[in-house]
Amino acid sequence: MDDRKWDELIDKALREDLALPEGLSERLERRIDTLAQEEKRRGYPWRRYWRYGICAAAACFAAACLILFGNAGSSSPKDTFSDPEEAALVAQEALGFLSKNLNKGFAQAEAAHAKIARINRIVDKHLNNK
Amino acid sequence: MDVEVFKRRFLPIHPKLYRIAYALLGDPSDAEDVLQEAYCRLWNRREELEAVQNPEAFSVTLVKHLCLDFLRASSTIRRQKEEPLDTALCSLATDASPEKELEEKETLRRVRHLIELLPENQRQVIRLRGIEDCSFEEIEEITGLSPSNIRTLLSRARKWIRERLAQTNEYGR
Repeated sequence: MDDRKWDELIDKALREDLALPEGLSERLERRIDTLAQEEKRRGYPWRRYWRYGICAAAACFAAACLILFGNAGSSSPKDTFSDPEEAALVAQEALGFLSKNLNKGFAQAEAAHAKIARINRIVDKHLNNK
Repeated sequence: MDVEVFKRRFLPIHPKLYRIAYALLGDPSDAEDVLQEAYCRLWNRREELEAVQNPEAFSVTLVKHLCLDFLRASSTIRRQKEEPLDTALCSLATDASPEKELEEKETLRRVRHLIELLPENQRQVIRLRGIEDCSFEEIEEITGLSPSNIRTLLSRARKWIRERLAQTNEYGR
């Protein structure tokens, strides 16, 4: 017998070997029906609802944490005015205050500078006279 | 997913799943046990399976994993089907039948017996290849072997069977 004929025989033997057992389909169908009936008898699919419950609780916990602790470390300033016109007026006042004090400061600095210059002249005069 | 929808979706693929389980386990009752377990798991997860695009591929993967678990768990207590080769050959050679139909039947029985005697990986691959709707890609996926490995194993398995059959034919003369 040549190789081709042997291969055909092997293929045929494999087909026989792989034949389905009798009644397999019916047994599987009965098993599925039994599983469905058992589930119905038990009532709710507790396993599924238990899982959903855990997920919902975890989501609530995460949301609560975010709300409570989410802004704790925030350093961004909060807005104090909701009306932009009011905010502009207050800003103007603040800038005016800043400017007034800045001018006062410059005047004080000029006065101090003048005093220092006078002292320097006196000291130089004394040093040169020696 | 209700019972009827589940059956319509998953029951038609049971022949392929059974053959894959049988190819991997080598025993019809073990293969059926694995198949029953697979359908149990598919039923328990049927709501998640609504989104599965390819139920056949999913089921094949499930059966493969169950078979691997079965083989690992029962490796110390599984029946060894190997017998000394000369004993097997003698038992094959002494069976003789004068009629052509019986002769072919007898030869087929011998071939099936020789398939049982193959090393495990060759046996699995030759049986998987024997499943009509099991492609090479699926065999790769199930066994984890490369295409060249699969071809080598198939070739060796067939060659060995041919040689043993030729040998028994010689003994029979």
